[in-house]
Amino acid sequence: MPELPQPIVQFRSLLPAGRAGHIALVVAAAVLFSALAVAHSGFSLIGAPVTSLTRALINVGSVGFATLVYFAATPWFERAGYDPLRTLWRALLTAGGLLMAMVVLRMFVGEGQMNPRTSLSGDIETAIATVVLAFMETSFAVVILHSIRPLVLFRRTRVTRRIWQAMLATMGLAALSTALLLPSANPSLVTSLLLFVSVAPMVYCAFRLGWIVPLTFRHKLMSMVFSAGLAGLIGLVLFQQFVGLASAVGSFAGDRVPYVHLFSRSLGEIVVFSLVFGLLYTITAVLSLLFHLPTTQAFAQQTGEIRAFKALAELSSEVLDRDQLVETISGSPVLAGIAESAWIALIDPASGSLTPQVVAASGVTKQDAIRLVAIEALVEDVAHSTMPILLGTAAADHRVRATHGDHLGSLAVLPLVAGGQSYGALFAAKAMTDGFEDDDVAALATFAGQAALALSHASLFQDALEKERLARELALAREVQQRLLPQTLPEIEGVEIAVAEHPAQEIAGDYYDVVDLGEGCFGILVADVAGKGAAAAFYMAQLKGVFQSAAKMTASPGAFLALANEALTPSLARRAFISATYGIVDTREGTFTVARAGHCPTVMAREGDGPWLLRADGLGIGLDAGPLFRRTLREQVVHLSPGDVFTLYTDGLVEARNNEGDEYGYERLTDAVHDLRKRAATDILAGLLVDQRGFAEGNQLADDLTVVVLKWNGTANLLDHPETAEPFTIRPAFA
Amino acid sequence: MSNFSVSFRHRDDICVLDLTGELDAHTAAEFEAALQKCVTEGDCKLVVQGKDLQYISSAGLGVFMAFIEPVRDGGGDIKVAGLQPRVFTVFDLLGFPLLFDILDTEDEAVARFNGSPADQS
Repeated sequence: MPELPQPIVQFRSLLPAGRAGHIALVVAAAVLFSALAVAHSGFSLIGAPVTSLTRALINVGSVGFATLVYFAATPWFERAGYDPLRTLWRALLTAGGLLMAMVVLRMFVGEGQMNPRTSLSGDIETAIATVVLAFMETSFAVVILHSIRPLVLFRRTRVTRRIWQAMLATMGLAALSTALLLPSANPSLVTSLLLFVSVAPMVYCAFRLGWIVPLTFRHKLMSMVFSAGLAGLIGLVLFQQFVGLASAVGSFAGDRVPYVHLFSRSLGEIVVFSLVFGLLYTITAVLSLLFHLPTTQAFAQQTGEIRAFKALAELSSEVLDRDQLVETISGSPVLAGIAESAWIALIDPASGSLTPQVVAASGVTKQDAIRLVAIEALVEDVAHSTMPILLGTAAADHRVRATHGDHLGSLAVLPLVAGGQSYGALFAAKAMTDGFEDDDVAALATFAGQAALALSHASLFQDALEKERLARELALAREVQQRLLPQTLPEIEGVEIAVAEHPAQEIAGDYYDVVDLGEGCFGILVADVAGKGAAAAFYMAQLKGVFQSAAKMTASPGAFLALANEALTPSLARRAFISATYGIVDTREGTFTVARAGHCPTVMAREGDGPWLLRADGLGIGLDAGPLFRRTLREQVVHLSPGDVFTLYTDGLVEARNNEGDEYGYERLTDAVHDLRKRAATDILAGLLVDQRGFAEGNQLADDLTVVVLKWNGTANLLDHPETAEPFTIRPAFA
Repeated sequence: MSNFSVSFRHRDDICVLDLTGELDAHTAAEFEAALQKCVTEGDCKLVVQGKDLQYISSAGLGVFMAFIEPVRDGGGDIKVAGLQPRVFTVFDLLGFPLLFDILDTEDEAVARFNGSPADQS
């Protein structure tokens, strides 16, 4: 069994749709009204009583006309949208305009005449006024209904719309039920019943005021004023109607004729019902607005935060990429409808400038954003106070450069501060002056705070990435550098060698090497490049190159160091230098010849004597271009005795500190080597490091550390034994 | 963390820099900035008062190296005074006494400026 269609839905669906349908409605209303106007004028002129049927026809036609006007006006009102404030304002203007026109017209009409026999206009002048005013009053009622409709249907349900339609239907039916009656006759029981029934949907609709709650304080105030104004206008028209009706018959003063009733009693009733409902609604609206005013602040705060957090939820799901982040931050106030344009200026010390840069803009180009306001001054001010700056009339502020054509009415500047650090500011702009309400600013401020947090996270993430990248590169550099150090040490007849090296950082500035010079000679180099890190590593690589190529050219340590000095000095930065000790063991002669270029003195230990520090003069490499270096350089020649121990090292060994801040120093070093001298070279080295680490109490090494221990197990030098108190002689490297 | 400081004094046309604490790779920049300021302001007669200097690393020595040339080109000199033995050792090992006037007291350093001209070889 087919379901019966809902009557109202059916009625709606019968209406012609689209533009053509709209035109058809307008034409139908015009034709119908013209017919009614002609009929009214005609019957008024004839002056004879009209039959009940004629009156009924006129009344039914008039109700039909009102219905057509209502539906014809629907698209125009719907197109205007559902903004309550705008709806009320437009209603006030339209209704006010209509009322003004009606008042003016009544003034011109002067006294109206009603023919008591026909209950129609008594003369042609009244007839014309009746037709025109009936049209206007009907329009007035339709405007009121259409203005209230979107407010009643705000967040509507199906039920709400049904009740609205039921209200209009009962009004129409009540009006039709009087179609047969004379204007002066009392309404019938049916009419009263229908009116009574229509009260319920009217009251229901009058309390549909949900649109009030989300309004801001200012909008509520404005709505209240508009509603009150509208109530006044409706009241005035209603008053006119009732005063006119009370005068009932005879002649009326010009401004008191209930013209629409003269035209058609049913139409008059529709107008009156509509206006009564309009008055009821506007009065409840005014009262409700009044009661809602105090709670506005709390509600505004709440909605502002909800909006901000919603936007932030989207933000936090973004990748921690700064560029993407700033785009999102600048775009969100516009997306959320808080501002018409927004941009973000960041202070990025990494860029080497403390001037804030506009990094992203939405609703405006970056160039315009820079041009419109003094970014730097505003960022500085807002970072200083950490409070938002709100410029209700942006153009009046000295920091705003926008001209009239830029449509910059109001500006909000929010600090981006997280963890005590200021990242810059978020700018939000509107074309309207005083465009930002408290809730907008609250939303923007909450948002800016969270955005700053996201920025700080992104920056931390970026730092961590950078750190990781650096660490990887350093590890790689360290690996390369490690290969610069000798991978194996040559076997030397009669000499034990033990080596330990330990960088304080990934890349060290220490270098050592051992080279077979031929004819029983071996060169041992220990060097320290001033500074650490990448630069030191470069110099170290250069030193290795010099050592590998030049060491074999000479059997004199001094000569080699002078060569190295002359080769390296031109390429060393002014503040960079290298200290080095170069010793040559001559296994056939039984000598150890050592020269020192500004380096730590070699420790020498001997069975039954010593210890000594071998510290002949010598400038560091890179301190002098050549002549002074050569002139001052000395060589120390040791005539070896079995069991002699030589310890070459870098300053990391002696500069290790304990918790009191004392250095390990030369005395402890020589004592330790002296105590350990009888052991094998590797044991001496191990013992020395244990002693040094024990002294340092586990403190982290501040400098790189390299130690080379040589032990002479060969024969004593018997060939040329000079008679000196010390076991070595000192001679200039360059005679 | 930094326990190094440098301050300026003027004795006539001589600028005295008092160094306090430890001059290492981290604090060298501070000393460098101080010397740069002197050079920029045209002060070329500089005495570095090192009696309160507890430690100097090779990076600290590098700063002396970096500035000696422009200072001498400007007709002045950097003289070092009052170093503690431990700190002097570091200067000495590298051969700094051959390049710089290193004197026991500040007065001697000032006198060296005022009396005989810097006898650098």
